[in-house]
Amino acid sequence: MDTADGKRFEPKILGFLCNWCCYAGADLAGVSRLQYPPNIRAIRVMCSAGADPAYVMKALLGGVDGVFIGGCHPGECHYTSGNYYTRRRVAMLKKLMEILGLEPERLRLEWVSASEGALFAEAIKDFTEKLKSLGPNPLKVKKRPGAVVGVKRS
Amino acid sequence: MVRFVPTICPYCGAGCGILLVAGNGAVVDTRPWSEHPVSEGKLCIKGYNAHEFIYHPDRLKTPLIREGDSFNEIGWEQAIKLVAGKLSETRDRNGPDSLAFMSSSKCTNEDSYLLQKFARVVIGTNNIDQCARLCHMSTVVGLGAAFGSGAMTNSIADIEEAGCVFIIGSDTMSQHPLVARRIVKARENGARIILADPRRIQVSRFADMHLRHKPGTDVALLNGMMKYILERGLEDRDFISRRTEGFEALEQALADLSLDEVEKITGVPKGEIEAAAQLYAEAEASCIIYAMGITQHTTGTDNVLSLANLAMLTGNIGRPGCGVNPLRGHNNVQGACDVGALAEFLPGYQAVADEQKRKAVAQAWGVAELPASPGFTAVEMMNAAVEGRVKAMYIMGENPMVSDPDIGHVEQALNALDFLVVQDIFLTETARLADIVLPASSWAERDGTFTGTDRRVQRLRQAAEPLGQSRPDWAIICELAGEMKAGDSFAFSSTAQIFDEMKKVTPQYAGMSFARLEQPAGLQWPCPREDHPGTSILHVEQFTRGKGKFHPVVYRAAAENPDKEFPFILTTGRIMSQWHSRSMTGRSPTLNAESPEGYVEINPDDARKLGVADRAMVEVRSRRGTVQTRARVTDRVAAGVVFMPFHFAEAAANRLTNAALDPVAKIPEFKVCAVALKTVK
Amino acid sequence: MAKCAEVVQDILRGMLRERLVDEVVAFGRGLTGSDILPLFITDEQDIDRIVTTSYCPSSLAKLVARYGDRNKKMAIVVRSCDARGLVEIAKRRQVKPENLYLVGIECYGVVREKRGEVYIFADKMEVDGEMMPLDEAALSPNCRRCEYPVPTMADISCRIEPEGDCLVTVNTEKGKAMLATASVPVQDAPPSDVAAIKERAARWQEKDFGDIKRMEPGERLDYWLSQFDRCIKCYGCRDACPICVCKECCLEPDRGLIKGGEYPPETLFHAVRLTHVGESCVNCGQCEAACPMEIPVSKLYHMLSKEVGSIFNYEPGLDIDSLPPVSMVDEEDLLKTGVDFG
Repeated sequence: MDTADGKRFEPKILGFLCNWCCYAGADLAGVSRLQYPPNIRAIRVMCSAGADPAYVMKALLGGVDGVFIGGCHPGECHYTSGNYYTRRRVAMLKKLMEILGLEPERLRLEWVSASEGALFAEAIKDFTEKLKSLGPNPLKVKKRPGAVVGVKRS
Repeated sequence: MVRFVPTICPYCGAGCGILLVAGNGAVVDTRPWSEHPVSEGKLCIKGYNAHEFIYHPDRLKTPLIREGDSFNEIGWEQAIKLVAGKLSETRDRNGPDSLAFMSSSKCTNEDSYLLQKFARVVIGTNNIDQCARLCHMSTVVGLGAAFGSGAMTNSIADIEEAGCVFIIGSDTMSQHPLVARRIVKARENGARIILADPRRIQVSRFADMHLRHKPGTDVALLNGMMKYILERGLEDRDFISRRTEGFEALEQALADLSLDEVEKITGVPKGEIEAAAQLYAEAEASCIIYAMGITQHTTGTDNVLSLANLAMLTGNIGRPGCGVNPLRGHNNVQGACDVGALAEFLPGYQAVADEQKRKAVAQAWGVAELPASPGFTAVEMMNAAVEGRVKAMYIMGENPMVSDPDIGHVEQALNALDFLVVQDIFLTETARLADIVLPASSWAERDGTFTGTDRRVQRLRQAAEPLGQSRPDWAIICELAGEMKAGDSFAFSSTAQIFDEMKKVTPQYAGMSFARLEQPAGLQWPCPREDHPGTSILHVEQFTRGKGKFHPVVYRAAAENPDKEFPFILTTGRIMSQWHSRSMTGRSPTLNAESPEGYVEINPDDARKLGVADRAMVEVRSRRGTVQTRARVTDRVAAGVVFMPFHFAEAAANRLTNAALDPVAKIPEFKVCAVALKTVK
Repeated sequence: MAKCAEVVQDILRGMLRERLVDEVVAFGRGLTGSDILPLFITDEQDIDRIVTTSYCPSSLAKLVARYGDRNKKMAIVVRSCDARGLVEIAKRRQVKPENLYLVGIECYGVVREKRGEVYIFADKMEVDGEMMPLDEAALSPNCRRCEYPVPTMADISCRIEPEGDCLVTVNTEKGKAMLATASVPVQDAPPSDVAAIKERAARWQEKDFGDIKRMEPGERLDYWLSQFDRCIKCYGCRDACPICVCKECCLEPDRGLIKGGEYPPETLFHAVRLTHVGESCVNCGQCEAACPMEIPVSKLYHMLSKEVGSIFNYEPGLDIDSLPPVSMVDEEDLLKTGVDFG
């Protein structure tokens, strides 16, 4: 899908990647020279449960096109149960997004272990395609008259 | 165990009801009061945190006396003796008019009433004023001339019934949030909302129209609207002929006006002015809401008169959902005016120059004579002090060192005095210049009455004992009067007693009493008899002055306009979480954390030209002074206009503002002056 | 109608006199006798002020959590939403359930705007002594959606009959002890028929939530943004909410989420509140009652709590031992509920 100004729409994805699995998986994808779209900006978190729902909403309401959370497979959490919390939170967040009028597909949870570089690349490719078909985050194009612009910390 | 004490919020003039939560002899929290007719269980952030400053360590707990550059604590007895002695001495040596008194629209009606009585009876001067002069004096004078009563014509709840709400010069969402609530509800009921404001304030998010006129061009805008109404025959001929006088003069004055000219002056496209006029004139009931964007100009009175003209022209007076509704700034600015803390008026707006009324009040007070010539107004007092005509000043709960225009001049004036007494709850910027500082108890620690913007007289209820040795203002004044051998006229032991005397000389309050005011809704003046239910809408059958009077007004430019050297228009105002000179909100952690420092709003285009980044330090300079503050780059202001909140002493907008006065109301032009900007390296 | 209040007063008076509790929390007559204030009562004389009218301007659960001494024994006159709020607060360890003695009042709705002295019954209402058919429009919106007229979570529950009788049901062992001190005879009431109220709740939930659900996603987003545009960030919704019990709040300025001094606040303000309390909303409606700008926040929270509850088979405020769904884990869950994480 193209944006209003005719440019090809490239979705921006924010990733919360677990240090013990998905982050290493992404790394592996990199060193294995696996091709995947460059649309994701990764934040390394010590556990996928570190992706506080408030931060996920901050990203989405701030105009990010999609949020990707990568955690350890069930039963493999470094902290025993962090990924189970994440799973419940994502279920809640998707409902919340739906109620507010944001497509729940803009949030994706994947289990990616440190050895699954190919799976990571595939997941990002798929998510990027999905977001392209959804189009830009509607909040990005909403004008907020009277807001402070260009918040540049001096 | 906790108690919930119903009382009134000490911030804006909306007069919301709050419940102070008192536990273990102290106020611990604030909750909304659901039974109150104005706030209905809702509050704004200031209301919710109204209790926070009460126990701030800066609270004054004992009287203080100046020793060189610092203050020493003294006892009450000694302080009262010293003050009484100095006041008597100055009066005897230089005459009564060498003293000046500043009351406060934050204090109760009883406090203001007693201070003006003290000035007039004990000293013998009309040099008594308060900050109403700085905010809504143009309303008192303007609506007084047009309608006969210088107050909000309708009630706050009444706005809901409007078919069209015209908001001009009021940031209602942030300054009177619980009034804005009624605008929101009116809109839900189908009303159209017209906003006229140079800034893109929060109301613009849901207003049907936003006319963004240049600061200081209100008269032109309003005349343009009236011109269109007359052209299209949208005026209410029946109302005009039955209820008003002077219409021909208005017609004549508008005859030669061209809307193209208006467009050029105001910067608002002609089509928008026409559309707004159409909306306003055609609605079943149209309500005007305004605040300091209208009043704080050298043309403040003209602006108010224009609004009165517009309302009368379309017959929008005396019915539910219409009217001309000034939103008063302070919790009790309406009351302070009602009870006579004004240089030209005795209680109840009885002119001091009116011999008959003066005599009647003198008789009620048991004195032979009262001073007959109007005294110095707030800004004039400062001028007189600089000139040496005022030697001593008594300031009760005001902070002119932040709130008056051209602070440099105020500082000079206060320093020139022989003797300055400041009575306050904190050592404010003004109190630091005093010779003696008297500690007053806070609003939560006393009884009394406040009068809200819709003329609603309401009871304030004590929730805790006064902190330290602080005392209610009225008790201090009584003590002082006793020391000056005038104790007989000031023998009060409760606020109820003061109220009972006050209502005898204030005709609007005649039918009220503390017992009647016990109900959550209080009573709206005029309430002339004890069986009178109070008045929610003024001018129903006829205007207070009989017929409403049109005053044709011609547009005059502001006193100072941008030029090559000072290319920007500076306009000033308040923000949601701070209050005036911040002596209260600055000491409320929750409120102060919201906006702890001052800033200047700059349009992105201007910022780009000046090379100013968001949050960068900039220098703002006018002919009177220079301040440094942070830039906030936002399209809230139009290009060529900058905005500064005036709360912050360290980046005081009022070092820059122009003290030029409205010729009639003597209100200074806070809203327009010319400034230059540059970045600070 | 005084009779019911008398029975409740009698029970409370007995509890205070017998030192079963140190303090009583209820709504009672305020300044003039016709206005209502929340009261914390330690003196038996003040018990007379307590009323049982259908006008409850704040959440007593929240007031108890905020101002009550958790080590004191307290009797609280609750409606089911208050009781459910207290259950949620107890889960968050802000009150000690063993110190709370809940005197429940069956509630078929309260009025938001007070017009005289009002009592609401299942199918009629009494205004200033006059009985009339129930006007559902007069009810607070959250009450219309409420499925829990009977406070089964309270220790005893009192049913007010339209004729003024008060029938008391004992729900717990504690409840028996509470009634033991009462001087008026109390009989066990037959269970209330709540089918009609469940039907009403379903109807209004369908309407309130359906209106939102039927919108296109973009339209829904615009709807909420226009609602939030009016927000003046008074924090009234947070302060009224019985679920919001944190001493420090991440919505305050300079905690990295919400900028200070910006009005309206970013939409994130509301989203964060939703993530924090949405799953536990007990539909007490206090957020909306406190909102100066009439933003339908209670509808929003209630809707989310219903949606989330349907995934986890969870209903907040009923059982003190069942934890909020996102603050617990279960290895097997969700695998069987078929939630799509893509």
